[in-house]
Amino acid sequence: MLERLRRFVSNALSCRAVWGAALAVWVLPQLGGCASAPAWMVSDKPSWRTQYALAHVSPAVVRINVVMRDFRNGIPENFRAIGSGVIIDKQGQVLTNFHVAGRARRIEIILPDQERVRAKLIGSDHWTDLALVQMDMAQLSARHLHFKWATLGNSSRVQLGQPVLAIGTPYGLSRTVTRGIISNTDRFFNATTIDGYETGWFNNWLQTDAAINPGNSGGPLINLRGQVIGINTRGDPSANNLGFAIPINVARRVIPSLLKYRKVARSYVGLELEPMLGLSHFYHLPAQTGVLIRSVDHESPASLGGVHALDVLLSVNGHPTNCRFPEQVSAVRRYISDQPIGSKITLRVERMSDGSKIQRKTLYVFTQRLESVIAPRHQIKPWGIVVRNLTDAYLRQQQMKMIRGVLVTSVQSGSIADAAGMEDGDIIRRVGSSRIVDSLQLKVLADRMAKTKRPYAVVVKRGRSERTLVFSPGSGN
Amino acid sequence: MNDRSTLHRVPALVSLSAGILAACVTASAAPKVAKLVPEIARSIVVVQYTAENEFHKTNKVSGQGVVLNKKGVVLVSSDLIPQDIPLDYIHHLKIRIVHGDMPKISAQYLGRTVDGLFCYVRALKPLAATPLQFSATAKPYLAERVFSVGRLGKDQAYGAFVGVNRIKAMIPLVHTLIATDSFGLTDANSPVFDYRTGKFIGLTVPNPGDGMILTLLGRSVPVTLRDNQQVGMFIGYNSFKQDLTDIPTKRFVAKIPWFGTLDSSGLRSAVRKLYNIKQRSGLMVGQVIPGMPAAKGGLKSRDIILTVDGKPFAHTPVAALMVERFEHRMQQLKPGQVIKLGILRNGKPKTITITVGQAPTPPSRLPRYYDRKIGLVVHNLAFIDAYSRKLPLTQKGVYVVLVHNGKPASLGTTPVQPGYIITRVDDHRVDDIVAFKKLVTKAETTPGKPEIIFEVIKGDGRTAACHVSLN
Repeated sequence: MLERLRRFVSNALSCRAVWGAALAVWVLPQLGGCASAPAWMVSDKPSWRTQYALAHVSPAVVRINVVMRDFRNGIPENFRAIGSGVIIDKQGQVLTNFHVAGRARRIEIILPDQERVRAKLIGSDHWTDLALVQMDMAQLSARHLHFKWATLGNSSRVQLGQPVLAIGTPYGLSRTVTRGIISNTDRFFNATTIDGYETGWFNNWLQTDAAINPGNSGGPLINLRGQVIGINTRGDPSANNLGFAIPINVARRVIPSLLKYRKVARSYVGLELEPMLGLSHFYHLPAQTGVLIRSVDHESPASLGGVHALDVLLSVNGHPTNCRFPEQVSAVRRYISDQPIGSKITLRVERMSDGSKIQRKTLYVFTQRLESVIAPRHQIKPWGIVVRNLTDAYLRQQQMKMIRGVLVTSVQSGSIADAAGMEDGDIIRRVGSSRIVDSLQLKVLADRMAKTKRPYAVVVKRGRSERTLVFSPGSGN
Repeated sequence: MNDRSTLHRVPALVSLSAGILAACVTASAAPKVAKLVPEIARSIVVVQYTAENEFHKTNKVSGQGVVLNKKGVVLVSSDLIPQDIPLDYIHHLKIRIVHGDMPKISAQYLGRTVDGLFCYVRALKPLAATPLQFSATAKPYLAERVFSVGRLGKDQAYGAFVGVNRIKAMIPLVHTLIATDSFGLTDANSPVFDYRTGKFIGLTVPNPGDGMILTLLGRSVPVTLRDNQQVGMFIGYNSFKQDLTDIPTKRFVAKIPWFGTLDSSGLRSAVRKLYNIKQRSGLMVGQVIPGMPAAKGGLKSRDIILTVDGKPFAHTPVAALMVERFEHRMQQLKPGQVIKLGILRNGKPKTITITVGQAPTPPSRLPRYYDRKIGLVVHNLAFIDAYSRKLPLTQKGVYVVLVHNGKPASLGTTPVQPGYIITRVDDHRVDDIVAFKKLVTKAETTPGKPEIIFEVIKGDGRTAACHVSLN
């Protein structure tokens, strides 16, 4: 059998007709500009690789309609938003961005065949701007709806200049495909926030010139093998073709935690890191050694462990933390955050003390759970205010002592709280004689106090002073 | 800094000439005023100086002053020599006599009054001007007719002019502000007299213009007169009587009484009802600065101060005015004086004793250092620099006031910015400008040293490293 195949190929290659046809196939398209080639010879179809990639991923890309809630002047307001997502397995799980679905009150998935299905949030992680959504499988099977899911690729193998496709719902235009190349595989951004939630601490980005517009968020960036290599997240509408996707390997690490715990637990020690750049010679260190500790958070584990700002962190648990350029910072942050919460970690630092003496120190720090500066908001209806639980991260940011209380984020005009002189940013410490610990307790107390007819005192912390506000029933609208 | 040249007021001259004419007509009906005006005008001088910062940016400033005595001491508005101008910036301080040959005489800055309203300047040679007569004074009354005397600008040959008006409002803040229709050209520091008796009543303050927000002593005070006319303002003699009696002759630093509280507010009626307080006025204490007199005396945030030395300090139901009145009461004290405050803490009365302290030196009066090579101006750390960043009051370092654009300090990857506190230079701690100067000079003169590294505390209290190249 093999012998027959070998002889067939040998005969075919020696046949002039075959070589002639091959030559014609090559030459005629080259003449396309000046001489008209027969239509059957020039294809206007996308390359078979593009077709292959789209055929594999496009049926798994969905539009996500969400309803979110905001508070203006203490009054809740619902608004609609649109994003994209990609179905990643047969259980109907959809991967998207935190900023698309992470704060949604209602989620609706629109499948590629335009059928709509309810969905709910499984979990989200604002630090990496990723969220996982579960389609309502009962509804799908009851309506005999079918879907496909995409294959996740390996973003560490992505190469500069590699062709990619972005699929999503830019400006609500469902199933839009744009094409481009990978413009940079390791783009670095300073950490930013999404409505106050910190993001972009632990990953770098894939940069592409495939058009990424508002609404593309959460949609997949795919290679021509039909694999998802990134989640499209950011674009700059004022620039020409500057789009950024979260590498899929970041999502691969996050997904198991989201499925199991609905969130990602990370460790916190309270270090703000900065690349060494040209500082190595100042600290008499070889290039590519250590990372500069720019700042140590107030009352953080690192601060309690004796770490100083402007120490050079050489290693964590013996793992070198070399960081000469900004692109390397997120990897060091990630390594620290991956340490078990509550564990004792060993930091090796170099410290320049007075008189140019360089000391190497080994410091031990107990990690804490990483938390956001802000917490979800709660409406306290009887008082006409919206509050958040106070987080340690918020207190550290404000350089305050670790106190208990509830942070006021907005006050409704004409409400009883407004009449008492409550302001945004106040921290509610006491209501009557009760110390306030969290929003839930405050809600219960406010409901109870709404039934009293006598004025009562609410103690708030405003800046660095404490104030007594008097809530007089009937004073608000 | 305001350029007090009257050039920009020239277009207004036409419209105001009618007012001046009217004043002259009225004056002719009152021979006393006509006789007084030339005499008063001889006591008004022009005080001028050049403000020049470390980067040689200059600004010429001039304004009116009133001669107080034969020793050549002149009273000027504190707006003319603002407290935020370092005294090192003041060059060529001169007093110009605006009659006769109009000579310019070199002068010396003496100091600022305790109330912060005025500064004293003294001529270094005998001054051929008549001191203003304060011996006969009158109280202002609503609807009373008053006149004020001032001087025009350089381009108008410093001619005298008069504004005549009636008092239309009296606003009882810390200093009672008296509003009239506009005096016309009269700028700050024009003396105001009773039209009928010719007695001295007060001194004008900068015109708030069409807006009704007055900025006095750095605080914005909303003033609602509910009409669209221009407003002229002056301060009654009683408010600054002390400044005209204790006239200094030498350089001095006013000892301003200091208590160490911030953000206090007036007693609200709801709080009064809650704690069943019979007295209508009081002060709800805001921040009590640790280590300061109030904190040492045991005062706490949320305490309600009802009496000072056994007496209520504010007889007003207006909460905003209670704070003003309390501050006014505090201004009358002297550092070192012991006072008893009657307070209410969680509804229970208490008396605490406080020894009044002295206000910390303002940042502009602290010693400064300018390093020309790297382009940085720093001063010693003031109390407010550390406190505003929530740093311990024992914090050491130097405060960056100015950064010269284009010089090395502004060109690093993390450029040094005004408002930063430098705590280390390279590997050495910096306590003050002496240490800073020594360390930076040493670094600059070390051959082959490529850069200096500053450890700084930024406005948000976080630290950062700023690299300043020396090449």
